[in-house]
Amino acid sequence: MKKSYLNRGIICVLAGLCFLLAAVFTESVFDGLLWGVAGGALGPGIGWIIQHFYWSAPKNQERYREIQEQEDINLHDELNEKLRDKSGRIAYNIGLLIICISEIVFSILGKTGVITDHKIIVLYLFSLFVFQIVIGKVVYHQLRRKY
Amino acid sequence: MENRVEKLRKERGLKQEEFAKAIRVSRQTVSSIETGKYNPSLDLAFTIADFFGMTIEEIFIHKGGANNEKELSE
Repeated sequence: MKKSYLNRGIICVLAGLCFLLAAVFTESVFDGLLWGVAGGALGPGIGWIIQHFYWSAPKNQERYREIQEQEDINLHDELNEKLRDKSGRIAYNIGLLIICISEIVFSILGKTGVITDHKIIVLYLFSLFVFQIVIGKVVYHQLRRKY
Repeated sequence: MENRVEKLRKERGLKQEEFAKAIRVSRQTVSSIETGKYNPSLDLAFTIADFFGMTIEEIFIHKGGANNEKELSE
């Protein structure tokens, strides 16, 4: 197995431990965030280290090679790529729709007094909506230039 | 577009998995090509044709092709 997994795992565990120590020994409003980042770094880090040792064992190497080959095929498989592109486009459109609906919902909740300071949320959602459309067009034109 | 991939594969006694591995695509892609749900790219069509030692036209039959030729000759 690639040594990069082990290196990546060690870096993540070290970073996770730093955040964990910071969360334990400091008192701040960011405690929750520090715990979250610590967990997010330690979990995958430990996972990668375990994976490295498991797949590096001589009895697992042949199976690992087969899995890697299949993963490589699946990653570059043209039908999979096409489906990934298509699902990305569908997810993008659904995301835009959800933002639009959220804007309406938060506007209604704000106007009816259910939530306060709704304007900042609506403004943020509107900005996100515009950004998504603009970045979609920009990326498309950048890609178009290449062909 | 129709194709003779399944027939040619079976003639060579290959399973979908084996054929997929040989042309480096997933088994699902082979299955989709054989059932006509997916038309392969030109690159993959060439790979398939090379594998069977044939030309693309001998394996993939473009239904509109005959009509196009007819229209051109008119």
